[in-house]
Amino acid sequence: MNIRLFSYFIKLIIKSRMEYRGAFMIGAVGQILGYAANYLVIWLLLQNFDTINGWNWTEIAFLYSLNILTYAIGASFTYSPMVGLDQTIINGDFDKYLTKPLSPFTYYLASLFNIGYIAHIVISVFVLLWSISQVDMGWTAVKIIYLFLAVISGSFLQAAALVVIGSLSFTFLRVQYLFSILFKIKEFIAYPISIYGTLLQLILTWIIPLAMINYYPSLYLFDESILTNKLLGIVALVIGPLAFYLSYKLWMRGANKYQGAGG
Amino acid sequence: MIQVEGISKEYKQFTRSPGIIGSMKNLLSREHTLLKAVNEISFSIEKGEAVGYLGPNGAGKSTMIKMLTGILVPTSGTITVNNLVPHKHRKEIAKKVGIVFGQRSQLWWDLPVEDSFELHRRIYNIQDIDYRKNMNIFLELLNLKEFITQPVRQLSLGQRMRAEIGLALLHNPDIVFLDEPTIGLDVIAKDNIRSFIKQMNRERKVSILLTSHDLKDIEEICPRMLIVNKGELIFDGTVDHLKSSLSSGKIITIEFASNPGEYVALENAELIADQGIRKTFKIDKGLDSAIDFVQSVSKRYPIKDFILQDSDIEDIIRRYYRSLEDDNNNELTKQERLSVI
Ligand SMILES: Nc1ncnc2c1ncn2[C@@H]1O[C@H](COP(=O)(O)OP(=O)(O)OP(=O)(O)O)[C@@H](O)[C@H]1O
Ligand SMILES: [Mg+2]
Repeated sequence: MNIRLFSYFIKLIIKSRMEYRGAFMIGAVGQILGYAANYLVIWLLLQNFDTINGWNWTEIAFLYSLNILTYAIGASFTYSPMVGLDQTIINGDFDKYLTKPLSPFTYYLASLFNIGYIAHIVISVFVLLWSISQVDMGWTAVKIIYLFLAVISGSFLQAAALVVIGSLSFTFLRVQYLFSILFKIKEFIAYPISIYGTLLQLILTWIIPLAMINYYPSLYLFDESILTNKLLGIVALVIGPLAFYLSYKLWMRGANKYQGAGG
Repeated sequence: MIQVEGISKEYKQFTRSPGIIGSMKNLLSREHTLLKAVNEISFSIEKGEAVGYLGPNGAGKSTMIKMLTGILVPTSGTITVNNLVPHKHRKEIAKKVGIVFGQRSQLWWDLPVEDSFELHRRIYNIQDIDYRKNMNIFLELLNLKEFITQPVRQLSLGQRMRAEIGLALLHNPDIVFLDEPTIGLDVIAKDNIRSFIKQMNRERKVSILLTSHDLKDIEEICPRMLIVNKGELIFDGTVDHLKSSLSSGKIITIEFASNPGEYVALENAELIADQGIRKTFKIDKGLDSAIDFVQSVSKRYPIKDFILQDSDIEDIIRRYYRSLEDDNNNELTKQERLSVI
């Protein structure tokens, strides 16, 4: 799949979403309000505490926005296809993704690309830029490039988490509850993971490395003079694409197990 | 062009428990039963052939088509399509193959039909001249003109099927697989689709493999047919061959000079319609015995006229399926059943 074909998919998707533009608009407004409420909760919390584990409101706003932004980018590509995959398989509608001169993975992702995350992107970029203006991070060219790469890597990681669970649909057919578990676990990274116990920190760093999405990149940007911050910050740039590649492999293996539905 | 050798497909059918606890349990223990949907089937199809794939519900027809198109991975045996193994070379196969599933859609539901065609043009990288040439032909022959700008969700089933078939042939495939392309369509839509498929087969030498429960589809489009039952191939030959060797039944309508009454002495003939001086019989044997039959009747009763016709294919297949069921009840082996042919 090349860029031109992909953008044609996007064009068709926008066109068909605009058939129901009222619903689309209501959804977008709802999401913006929902996330604004989330920010408000954190802000209120910090009115009482000033800092959480040494992190002040603007730093946490940065951390939180990095999570939402990368999620919105990753989920644009993988949320709808992966959450809908089990039903698609059960209905036998997955057939058509295997019969085109395209990789079933990219074809499936492109046809279900979700433009609805534009609202997430708007609000998180807005807060991210605001928090950057508030926190003094000593910006250098390297840090700016780092932030870009961290957003890309984090987006891959967010996308990969959904792909991993989605690919289990091929074996277990019903996986919705696993998505619920993932979203619960992801709530941990709304705050700096240093507030949790050591075990949980280790899990979020090395087993389910969600902290690589926002926590370690933030540490790197706030203070790269500490060696571990620097090292883990660099790991965070690699782990996203790597996880995505592995999740892709897992998914393709699953696709070969596809049994279809009667017909 | 297509080589199928000793292909089998077993489906795992899992026993599932409901609810979250159930799902957790299924993660741990995966009890399943195996269902053999296709059993050791072999055949080959040459370029430009049109083959009907026939069999009762659940015989394994769709399963075979899904293996031929690379959707499903066979449990054992080998398939090559254009010298490629379908499930290993999905992309290459897709370029050479067109697929129509009567029960599923390839069209983009909320968008005008033309957008789906344009998308296919891009996906298959179809040259502009080829695209325009095909579109002009399809707009005419499949009468896509009348609805090409309408959203797919507003189309009637017949219109949608015509669009699906056009879409499947847009990239000039060498082979087209059609799984029940005429399901649920009226007579006119069926005729339109049949003549289109026939024309593509004749003019472009596109190979056709078609399943249908409407035997007219197969009779009109496919000189050769394969019949499967319970996953096994039980007939491979021409429609004429099936008629002559399997049933070879003849329907004879005799018009008598005067009503011979209830009883007409008949060996091997079954009275299937009785209108007094006009009686219709069915005999199980071929032409010779039909003529013998008419002669022997005419010796006893004066005959004004008679009409001889083959029993139609619907009837042959119906009786064939029924005999399969009977065989099954008698628990005949596959070998014995094959000897029926
Ligand atoms: N995904 C599946 N999982 C389990 N069993 C299946 C699956 N698909 C088909 N089967 C079973 O395999 C057998 C063959 O099914 P298939 O769909 O190939 O039949 P068919 O010949 O196309 O029938 P029909 O004429 O009704 O369309 C049936 O017994 C069916 O129940
Ligand atoms: Mg079928």
